[in-house]
Amino acid sequence: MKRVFFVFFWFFLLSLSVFGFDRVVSLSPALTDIVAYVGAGKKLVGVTVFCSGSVCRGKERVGGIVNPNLEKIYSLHPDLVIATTMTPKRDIEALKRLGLKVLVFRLVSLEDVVNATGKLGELLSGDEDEGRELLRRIREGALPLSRCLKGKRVVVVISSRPLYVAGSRSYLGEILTMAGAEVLPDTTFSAISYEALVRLKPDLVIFVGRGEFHPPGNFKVVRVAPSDDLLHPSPRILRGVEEIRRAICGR
Amino acid sequence: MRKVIVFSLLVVPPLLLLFWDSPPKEVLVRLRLPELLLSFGFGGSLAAAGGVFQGVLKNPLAEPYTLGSAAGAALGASVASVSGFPVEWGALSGGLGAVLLILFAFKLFSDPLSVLLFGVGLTAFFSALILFLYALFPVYTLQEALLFTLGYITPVSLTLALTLFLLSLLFTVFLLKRSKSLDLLSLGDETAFFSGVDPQKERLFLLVLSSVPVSLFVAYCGVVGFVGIVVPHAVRFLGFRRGTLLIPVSFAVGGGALTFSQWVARTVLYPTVLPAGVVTAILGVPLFLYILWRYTGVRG
Repeated sequence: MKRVFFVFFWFFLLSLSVFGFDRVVSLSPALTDIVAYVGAGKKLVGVTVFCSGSVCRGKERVGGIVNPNLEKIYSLHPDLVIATTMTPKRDIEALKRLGLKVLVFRLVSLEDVVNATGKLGELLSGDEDEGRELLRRIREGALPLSRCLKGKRVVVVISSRPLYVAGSRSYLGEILTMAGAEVLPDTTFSAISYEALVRLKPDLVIFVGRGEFHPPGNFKVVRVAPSDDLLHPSPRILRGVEEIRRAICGR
Repeated sequence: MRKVIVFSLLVVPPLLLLFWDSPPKEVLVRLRLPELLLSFGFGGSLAAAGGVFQGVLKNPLAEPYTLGSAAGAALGASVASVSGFPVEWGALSGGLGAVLLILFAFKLFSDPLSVLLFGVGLTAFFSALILFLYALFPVYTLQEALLFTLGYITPVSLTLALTLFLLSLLFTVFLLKRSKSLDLLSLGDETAFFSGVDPQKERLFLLVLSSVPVSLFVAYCGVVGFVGIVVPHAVRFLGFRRGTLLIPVSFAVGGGALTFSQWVARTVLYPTVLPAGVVTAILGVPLFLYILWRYTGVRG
C-alpha cells in the first residue's frame, strides 16, 4: 500500500513539474517582462495597471503594485501569483490565506534579475538556462559600452527632484561596472543631496529621469530618455543598454 | 426622520460593501466579510472615541487623529513590527503613551486650541518618526509606511477581524456604562466633582477605554482621520446629545461612514484600491472646516 502511495506521489510531483503553472498573475511590470522573456506570456491572466507593451494586451488588470485588488486576483483563479518585495507583506499574506501560491522576488541587483529569470523560466517554460543566457547577453551588450566608459567615474541619476540615484549595487550600476565604469555611490538605490553629488566628482552623469536637471558643478551630463527598457529590472534592460550606448557613444 | 437617517447609514454601506457587483461566495466570506468587520469596527471605535475625546477634553475638534493618539499607535505598531514584537502590543503602548501626553498637555494649557495645536505637533512628530523608521530599515518599503499613515484596509483573516470587531463592541459597551461621567465632565470639572465624579481619574479612564480599540485597529489598518471628528458632531446635530445615545449612535454612524469610504476606495478607480483614509479625508475635511467655522463663530 505504502509503495503504491509513493508511486502515486512521485507521479503527482512529476506531473507538476511537467505542466507547471498555467494561470499566472503578475503584480509587477518587471516580472511581467520576465515572464514574456521566457516565452510564457500566454500564461499570464492578470497584470498591474502600469503594464504597457504587447504582452499586456487583453489581460485583466488587477490594480497597482503596492495596492493590488485582492478580489480581482482571486476571481481570476490563478495557480501562481508573482510579486516583488514592493508589494506590502499584508497583501501577500492575505493572498496566501486565500490558498493561492505566491512567489515574492527581490528585484534590485543584476543577480536578482538573473535569478528571477532563471526561476520563472524553470517554472513556466521548463527552461533552466534562461537566467544564465540572459546574463551572457547582458555581458555581450555591455561590452561595446566600455569603449566610452572605461575608467570613468559615473553617477546614474533617476530623478532630479529629489535627487535619486542608482548606485553601484543596483542592476544599472552593475551593468555599467561590467563596461569598465566606476559607478558611484556605493549603494543600491538612494536619495542623495546635490552636495554629495558634487563631492563624488563624477566624470559623467547619466540622467534617465523626467523634467529639468541642472546640477551644480562642471561635469558632463548625458540625457537618456527615461523608458521602461531602462527602469524595469527585467530582460528589457538589454534594449536599455543599447539606448545608453547610443546616447553616450553615438552611432 | 433622524432614526431613519441613522438606520440607513447603519444598513446601506455594509450592504454595498458586501454585495456590490455580486461577488462569488469565497470572495464574500474570505475577503469582504473581514473587510466589513474591520472597517465597521474601526469606524465605530473612531467615532465613539471622538465623542469621548470631545466631551472629556471639552474640545470640539478633539479626536484620536487630531490629537495624535492614532499616530502614536501607528508609531508603536511600526516599532514593534521592525523589532519583531507583536504589533498589537506596540500599537497599544504607543496609543496609550500618546493619551498620557495629551492629558499632560490638557493640564498644561487651559486653552482648547493650544491642546489641539499640541496634538497637531504630536501627529506630525510621530508620522515623521514612522517615515524615518521605514527609511532606516529598507526591508519595510516606504510605500508600506505611506499606506500605514494614510489608512489602508487590507482584509485580515476572518477570525482576527471578528475578534477585533467584538472587542470594539465590548469597549463601546464599557464606555456606555460610563456615559454619565462623560456628560458630567463635558459640563466642567467642578460640576463633575460635586456630582460625585473624580474628574482626573474619570478623564484618564474614559480616554484609555476609548483609545484601546482604536489603537488595535490602527495596528492593522493604519491611521484614518476625520471620522472621529465629523461623526459625533453630525450625531449631536441630529439630536443625540446625551452620552447614552451619543456613544452607540456614533458607533453605528461611524462604522457606516468608514464602511462607505472603504467601498468608495475600492470601487471608484477599480481595479486600483485607494487608502480608505484618503476617502475619509476628501469627504470629511469640508465638514471638518464647517465645524471649525461654526466653532470660531460661536466663540467670536
